[in-house]
Amino acid sequence: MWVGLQPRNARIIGHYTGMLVMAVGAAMIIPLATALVAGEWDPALDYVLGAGVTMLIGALLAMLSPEGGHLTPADALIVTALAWLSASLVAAIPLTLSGNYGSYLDAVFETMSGFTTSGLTLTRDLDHMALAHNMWRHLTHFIGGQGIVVAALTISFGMRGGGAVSLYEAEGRDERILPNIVHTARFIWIAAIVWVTLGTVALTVANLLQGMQFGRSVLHAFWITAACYDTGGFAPQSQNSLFYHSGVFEFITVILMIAGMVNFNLHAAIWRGDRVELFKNIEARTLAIHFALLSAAVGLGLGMTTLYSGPSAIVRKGVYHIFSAHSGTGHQSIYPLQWTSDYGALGISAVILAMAMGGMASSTAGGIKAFRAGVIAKGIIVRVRRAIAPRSAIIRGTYHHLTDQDLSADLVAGALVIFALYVVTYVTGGLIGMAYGYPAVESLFESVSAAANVGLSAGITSPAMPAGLKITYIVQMWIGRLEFMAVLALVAGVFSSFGPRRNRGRL
Amino acid sequence: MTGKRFNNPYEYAVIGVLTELAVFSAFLVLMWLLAIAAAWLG
Repeated sequence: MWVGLQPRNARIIGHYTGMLVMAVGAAMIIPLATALVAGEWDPALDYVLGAGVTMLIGALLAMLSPEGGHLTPADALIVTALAWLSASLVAAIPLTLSGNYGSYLDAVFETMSGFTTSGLTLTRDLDHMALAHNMWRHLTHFIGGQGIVVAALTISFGMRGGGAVSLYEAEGRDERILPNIVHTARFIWIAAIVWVTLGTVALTVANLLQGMQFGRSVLHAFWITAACYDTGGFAPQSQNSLFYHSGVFEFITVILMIAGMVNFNLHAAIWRGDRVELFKNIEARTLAIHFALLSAAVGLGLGMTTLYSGPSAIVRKGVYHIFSAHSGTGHQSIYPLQWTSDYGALGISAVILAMAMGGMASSTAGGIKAFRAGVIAKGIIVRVRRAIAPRSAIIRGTYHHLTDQDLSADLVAGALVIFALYVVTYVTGGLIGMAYGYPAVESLFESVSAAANVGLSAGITSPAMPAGLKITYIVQMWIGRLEFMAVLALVAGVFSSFGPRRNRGRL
Repeated sequence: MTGKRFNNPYEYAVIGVLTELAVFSAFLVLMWLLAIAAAWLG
């Protein structure tokens, strides 16, 4: 049955969306403080204005239902979809004022890319961007990666009980690590703080060894760490990770990328002392197999090229990008045009496949996710075993994810639905790119990169690309991050509310 | 402490993170060797 949005539900949805918008406004204090410390007065004004407008919009939305109210699971899905969209719309205000973006649309592209931890960028003159604006760009990764909803929960905007659980699940984090939702949110934050602190210290040392000034080393280290751990992909320099020309830097960033793509449940299991889980978990096993296949493929592919055939290039240009793509981070150490000119067909195919697959569920990685790939593979094996077994035999599929579990037909079907939606999205984006006149390989590369929230670019993403393509990628990043259901629930809710009266309440 | 389970993950955080660092690094090096071997064999 299609259930349209009732006015009361719409007001409650508005209330919680407003709360989340206000949380984004409150977060603008950090770039404002950065601007004040760095003496960047114009950017400081951008954030005063941006925070003011954002808080006003958030307050007006929240006042639609001042007392809040109970969120149904369907409402929570809609709040989640609106949270990412509205956060991007308001977060773009200070960036629009910065002068580093050609239009408000470009700034929204940037913030959607940031919050969804994609990493595609439309910044102009990035190398001379104000520190405050760079801080805000990277902070969008951190806020989006940790989950806007989890962030809002953590800073206690008063969501408790059933509503909070529904929001948490709607965001795509379908498992609770610890018994209490607030404790789960706290664990996610503490794991992030531990890893971001470690990464910032390690990268600061790496930058200092490269001869960078102390203050700049720390800022770059923090930004890159936030981008890697939250599998984002923004960097403070236009050459991205190529700017640093450092093997040590690349090693540290890959470790952070792996940490970012690991399921929070797996982190919790290891932190509890259950090391065996790392080797038995269906996601860990699926990813290990996929990484091995793609690393071999990229090695084989680059070995046939003229520019990247040496061992050092295979490690730093080949395997580096497999990890960057697979984790959904998108840091790249080659120029965008080199994907098609120097990387070779096998190499670029391996990178596209890595992007499409993505990391683990309940992590900040995007894409189809290893859990679904593992479940689908197990489903195929069970089907084949049933086909060749005697009729009387009972073939039962199982998998290990924290505990041994039965492989139900429903689980496989659900994984196949999301898999199909991702493939359709990848191909559709690629076709739209081609319709705008871009070559097929680059179009597919960019489309997969956007929908899987990766951020690697083959050169299409630029301020000069058509507005229609910018909107296409914004939508792809949005629906890819929320794994379709939240956005589809929003569309269904709106359609059911405004559609013909005879269709309401019917299948 | 191998194999010991804690209900509170923070009790084991330091060793947990070090374990993760070791496993991730070993896995990365393994993939490097695999890619170089594939290039050499190809």
